[in-house]
Amino acid sequence: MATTQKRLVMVIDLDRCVGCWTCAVACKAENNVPLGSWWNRVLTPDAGGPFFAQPGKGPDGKPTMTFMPVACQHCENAPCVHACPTGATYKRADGITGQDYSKCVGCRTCMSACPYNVRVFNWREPAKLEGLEGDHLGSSAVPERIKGVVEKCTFCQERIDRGELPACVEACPVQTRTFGDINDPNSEVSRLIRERGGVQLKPEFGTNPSVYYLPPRRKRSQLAWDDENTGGTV
Amino acid sequence: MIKGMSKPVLAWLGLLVLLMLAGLAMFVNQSMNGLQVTGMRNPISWGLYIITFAFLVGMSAGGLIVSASAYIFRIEKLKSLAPVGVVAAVASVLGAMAMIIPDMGHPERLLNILVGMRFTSPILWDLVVITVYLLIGLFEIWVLFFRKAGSNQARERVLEKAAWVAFPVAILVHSVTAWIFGLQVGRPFWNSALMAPIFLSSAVVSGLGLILVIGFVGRNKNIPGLDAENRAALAKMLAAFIALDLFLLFCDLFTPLYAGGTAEAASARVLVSGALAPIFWSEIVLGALLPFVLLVAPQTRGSAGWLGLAGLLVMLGVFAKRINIILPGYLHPNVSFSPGISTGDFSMASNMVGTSPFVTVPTYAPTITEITIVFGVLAMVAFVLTIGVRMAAEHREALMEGVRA
Repeated sequence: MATTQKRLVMVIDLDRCVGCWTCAVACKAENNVPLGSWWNRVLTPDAGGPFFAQPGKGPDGKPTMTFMPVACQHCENAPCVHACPTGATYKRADGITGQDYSKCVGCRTCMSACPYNVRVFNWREPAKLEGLEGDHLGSSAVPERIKGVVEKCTFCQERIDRGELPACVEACPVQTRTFGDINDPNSEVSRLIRERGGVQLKPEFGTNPSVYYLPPRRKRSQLAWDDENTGGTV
Repeated sequence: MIKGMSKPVLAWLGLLVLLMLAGLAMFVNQSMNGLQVTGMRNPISWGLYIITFAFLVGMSAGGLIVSASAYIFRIEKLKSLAPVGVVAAVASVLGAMAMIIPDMGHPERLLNILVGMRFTSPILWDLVVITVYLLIGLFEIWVLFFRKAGSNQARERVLEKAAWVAFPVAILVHSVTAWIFGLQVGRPFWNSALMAPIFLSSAVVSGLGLILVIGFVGRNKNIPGLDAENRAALAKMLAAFIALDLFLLFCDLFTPLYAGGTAEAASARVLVSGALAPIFWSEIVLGALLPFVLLVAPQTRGSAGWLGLAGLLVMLGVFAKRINIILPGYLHPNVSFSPGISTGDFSMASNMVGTSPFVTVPTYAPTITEITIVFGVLAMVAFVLTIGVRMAAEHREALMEGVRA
């Protein structure tokens, strides 16, 4: 009888990601993220070096590279939400882990609680590039932040409230990201997770993230994906 | 009060005031510029402030737990330790509370915690339980030093009742502080059921260490509760708790190291043979084994000086232990692929080669700001201790009468 509650999830297809960082930059612009802080990063699981420039080697000895965007996982069982003493970090009914910057006391317990290191703190007054200091970039609906508060990806909660998609989903040039309601079995995200075997990041922490990764099919045999990267629930 | 003080004491208090002022100045600077003046960044988001906070919470244990258990278990002789024990507890807890302020991005929003009331947060529990702990301590200080009315017998009855509250609250204070770390599922090294027992045993070790240091510094001052007989009893107790503390630490590290291959094992190896090994082995050898020998060897255990040294060593050892618990939790990020975690730092230089706003291997070193602020808080603790212990020495006659009665 009860209508199923909507739960918004993001599906990231690792077969498609080319590692261009457009999503990360679009996120910074949309959310007015200060210099030095990134809500969204594109990791390179099988590469090394300070600029992730050295590719890893596949089982055939040839160089290989896979890209894996990581932002807030919007865990259903969110350690940061349990840890936050003020309610500055909270769960919304649609599954988003929201941030209320005006409540944050800057204790950073959420940063220690997060298993994915996706939270960033404003160690200084948010800095902008020269010439853009006074500007509020991106959406005017995104609240300004001050120094001493913790920020993170909010799935662009302001855009979602307007019925739009998160900025990273729209910006991706190769449609790596799909966004939708996992509680609707007919949604695109549900279909992808079902058919491609979507996995969550580090499920062993029991967090039940709302971000699902579709393992790369081409590189499946060589990638540490199956066990090392996801905790073995492929 | 100043009239009765000798020149060395006045010089000592003056030095402490200077340290406090220096810390305050650095705190003002930090408040204006943000926490960028510390060595903390996103990958290691808690540093010296929280380490010192955990240390000071622990240090409050010794005297209060011992004197409270003296009342609960009716160990008549140790009841006389109550004044010094309560003073040490109040001084340490005040320091711990002061230590939290500079760690917060917005200390002026502190009351948000009471408004928000997120009941699942160990930070909220800690705020409540530490406040209660401080209030009990202040109440006992009032009863011991300032309460005019009532006989000594009446005072002892009040203290006994207070002990029944103080003892469980003291246990809770250390457990809850441990749970700030131990309940974090996302930090495998912290996420250990042994965290609360270890915090409790280290707390008693450092707290008793402090009492022995006070016993040495004030050995000619007739401080109530710190005669040779009580010192010997405290030394025995401290030796036992050092052994317990070492055993718990061994269990906590041996479990992951035996299996190997896990994130906990990687963090444990950082301690045993990695970057933190010098601090770790100093903690074991200089901060536990050596003082243990000093406390039990017949040649040294009767001397206030050697016991004081043992007390100082275990305090430093427990401080090292706080470092060795907190930092390894951050050193092996669960998702550590290149380019790594966003640090929060950036470079405006046109030549960006060699600088990245990400790291895969987190690092941390405290800055002068952090060290100065920590010394300022420690100076405040020492200031309150000095005044409080002198007050206890002045009240000696009245206090001892009550115990005898």
